[in-house]
Amino acid sequence: MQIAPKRFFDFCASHVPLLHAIAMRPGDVSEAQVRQMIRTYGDPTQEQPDVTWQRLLELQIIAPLEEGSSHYVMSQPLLQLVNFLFNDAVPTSPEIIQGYIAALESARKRLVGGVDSLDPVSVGMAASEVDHTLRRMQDDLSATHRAVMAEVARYKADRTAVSVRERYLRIVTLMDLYVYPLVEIVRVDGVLTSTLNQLDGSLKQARDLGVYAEIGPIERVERQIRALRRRSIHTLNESRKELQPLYDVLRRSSAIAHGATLALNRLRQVRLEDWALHYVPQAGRASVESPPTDAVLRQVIEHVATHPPTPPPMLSMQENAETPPDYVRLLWLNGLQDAIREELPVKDLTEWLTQSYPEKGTADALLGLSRLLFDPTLEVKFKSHKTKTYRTRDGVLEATTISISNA
Amino acid sequence: MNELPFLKEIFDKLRQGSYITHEQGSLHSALADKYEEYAAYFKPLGLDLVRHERDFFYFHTETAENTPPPASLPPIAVFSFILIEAAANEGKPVEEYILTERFSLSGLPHLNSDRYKSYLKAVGIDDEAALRKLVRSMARLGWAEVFPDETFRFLRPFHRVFDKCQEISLAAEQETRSVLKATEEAAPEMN
Repeated sequence: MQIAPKRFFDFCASHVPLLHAIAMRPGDVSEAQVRQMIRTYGDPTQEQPDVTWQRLLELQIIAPLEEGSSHYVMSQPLLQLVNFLFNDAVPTSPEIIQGYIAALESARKRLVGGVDSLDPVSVGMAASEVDHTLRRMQDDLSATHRAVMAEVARYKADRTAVSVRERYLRIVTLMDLYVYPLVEIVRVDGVLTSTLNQLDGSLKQARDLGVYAEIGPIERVERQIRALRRRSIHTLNESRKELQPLYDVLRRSSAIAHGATLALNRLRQVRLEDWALHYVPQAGRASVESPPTDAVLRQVIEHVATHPPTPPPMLSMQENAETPPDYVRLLWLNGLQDAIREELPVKDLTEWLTQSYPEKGTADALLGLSRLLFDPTLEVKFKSHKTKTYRTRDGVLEATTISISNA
Repeated sequence: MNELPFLKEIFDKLRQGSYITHEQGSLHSALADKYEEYAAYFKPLGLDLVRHERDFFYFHTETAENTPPPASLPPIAVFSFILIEAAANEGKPVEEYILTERFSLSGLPHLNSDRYKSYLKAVGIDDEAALRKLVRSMARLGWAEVFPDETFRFLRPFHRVFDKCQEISLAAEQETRSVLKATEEAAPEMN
């Protein structure tokens, strides 16, 4: 049934909130739901709800999903118009854009065929198809940009408790599934540019050979191509610029939240000591209590510098026949016990030692005395407090009388 | 070598595993002005002076990497992870929220959920009094600033928790990827 445009637009103008509400419903909508919306947004004093329902059907604003169904969808052209008016848009998938590119390529081949056979009708039809495809492509890319802007605005304005993960997924989906792949397609050395270049060449050929009767449409298509080249990249770059900061922030936030959850979950699974080793950020600690300041360092260096040097021990590198004196002393000390044992008891040990070994110096005499005094098999007694003097080879010993006998 | 300003004060603070932030005023500005010189001074002692990209300082030692942290740190880490998870679940921008909000003990999510309570219990935190003590120890280490009305805010060293979370998440993702790759390689070819 033919719809009178004026009647259609008059109805739309007086029912904007209702149309917007229907357009915003995802998928189909039942008759009961539409009638509820009519009651919510309509004005019964102006129009009965049932009349509104009939008008919606008559003007083909909504149509049944299939014949006899009680579920309805808004007609596609009107849905696009409402989305356009409310700046709502659905992003275009890269697959759709690739479909357009395939359609352009197909039209170009037909254009080339028309040029080769000098058939102006085929060329005209192919050029018209190119024109139509380019318009839809431009519209869809703009819709993607509007969808991105709407999502960014929603993100910034939305203060409801939507988890970081959910927000991240919404932004990441837009970025990863739409914007990045589309940028790949429309970039300077991408598939779109190459197709447009070929198309441009074919149109130029059609014009040069005079196959095309009217020059106006061909020029229009060329203008469209130039505009699409320029605007598609610009539009997508703008989308990317809008999304990138949110993408970065949310990606970081999401990773932080993910890491925190993982760390907490691991706490249940491993020993606390192991968990702490891997999941706790810590700063280094120092066991020294004071920093070695310049003053301390100077003092240490001074101590080292002023310490009297000790010459290193000299090793005799030449062998000689003489028995080393230290070895001789050791043998003498080891033989003292046996020597005195034959003469025990001895009333004055010091006298016995200095008279038996007059060649020994004071140091050796003292060593000998010590060896005998601390021998556990001998018993010593200090006789009186009065001291006596004993001469050694190089000096005099002064001591009280010490007697010695078997223990 | 010229004497570095506030050397003893800076060393005293850092050697205990604390952080020096803008809140330490002259200590921070001395470190910021002569970072290279301080770093060169501490290096022979086996202490790497780290200047975090968010402009705070701490010591890093190789031994700290391989030895369990002091007993005060695991409760702080658990406390922080819970705060992050709760903020993210509520849809808050995690970093902005944690570093700009002023918190009070009664407003914290830690004792409102059995799951969170069980995590805290594992590190010896059972009630609000223990939480209060924990916040005080965070302040002592330079993680937080406590105000006289018992509210508190987190300071820049909290970024180390954020860094750690990202590190954990990245490691988990890499692990998942390598498992998937191994599974794909092990799967028989479908003809």
